[in-house]
Amino acid sequence: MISGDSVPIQVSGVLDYRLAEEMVVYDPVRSQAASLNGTARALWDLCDGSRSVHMLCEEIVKRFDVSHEEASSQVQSAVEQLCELGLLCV
Amino acid sequence: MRVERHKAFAEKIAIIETADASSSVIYVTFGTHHICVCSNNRAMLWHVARNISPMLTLEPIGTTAIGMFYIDEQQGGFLVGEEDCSEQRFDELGDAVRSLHHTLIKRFIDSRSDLVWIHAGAVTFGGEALLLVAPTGHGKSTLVGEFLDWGCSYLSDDVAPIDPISWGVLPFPVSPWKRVSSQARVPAERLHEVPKVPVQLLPTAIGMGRAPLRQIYFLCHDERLETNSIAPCSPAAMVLEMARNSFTSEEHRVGEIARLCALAHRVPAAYLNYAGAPIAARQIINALAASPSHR
Repeated sequence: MISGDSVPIQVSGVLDYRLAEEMVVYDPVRSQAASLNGTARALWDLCDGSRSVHMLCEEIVKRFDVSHEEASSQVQSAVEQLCELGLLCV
Repeated sequence: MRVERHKAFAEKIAIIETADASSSVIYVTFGTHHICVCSNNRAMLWHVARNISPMLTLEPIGTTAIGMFYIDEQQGGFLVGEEDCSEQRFDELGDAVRSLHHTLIKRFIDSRSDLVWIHAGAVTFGGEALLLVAPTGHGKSTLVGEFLDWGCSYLSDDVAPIDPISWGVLPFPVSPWKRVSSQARVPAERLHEVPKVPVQLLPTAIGMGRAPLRQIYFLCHDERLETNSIAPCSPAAMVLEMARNSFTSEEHRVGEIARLCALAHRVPAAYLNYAGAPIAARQIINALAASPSHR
């Protein structure tokens, strides 16, 4: 379960490819891939192990035109999905 | 060596008999490679040949041999194998032919790991390639058949090799087949029950060389749809869809993802949600004819 204090970090060895506003992330070990839209791409870049989910929400609110509530829901969901795919870990 | 030509589905199939008439041979070619298939039963070899007849050659000159396979009848069963390798036995001829067909395609794929191999139909329109990407049972062959009726050239109805340097689609012209149903709409889960019939293919309808890729369509067949729709597919989604429908082995997957990302920068992709192939093909032809190529 991801909490506000969880600190997500990109799994070592995962490759990322920038495609205009989007991104493709690929884990060659697990052969898992995901496509990220602009917001998810920004989130991915922020997941360097130095920010909690709370802090990630604050960054997303600053960068995008979304409310704190929306950002919280989107960040929580995206982090959970990327963790399930083994692309992020907490 | 005696050469005979068998007429089948308005195509000519080259089956070559060895000098001592003990076996028959076909040569299957793709680009600069060829595979030899022989059999002790010419009628049986004909079943293999008719599925790949546009790829057969009478004499493989200047191409590299990448395999020598056989399909033999023996004691009421059928043996499929490769020279000096293990063989498989089948009780049904259809199973033996299907297994050999897939083995031949896999050998070509393995021999050209420099290409991106996609599970897709491919035709050319105005000299440029359209890629119709989908898993089995989503209407690739049927849609390809419809495009041929519109004067498009045939590249493949199942396997599309893409050159990642020129981003051209190479011809891989296995014999095209399409499903013909007496019902207007068939549920997706019952599509496999609809019989396939060969598509009449004139030799002049087969694309001879690589064609620059103009547009990629990901097919979503749904017989419940009232109207067809073409929705844009973002570059990142395109990469994932292509990777899902790729024949590339895991060991080459990293390189392929990078290549697909490069492709996504250059070629537009869309989801084609459709119920009927004839209308979908017409809509695409009209849309392409109305818009200039991005090249």
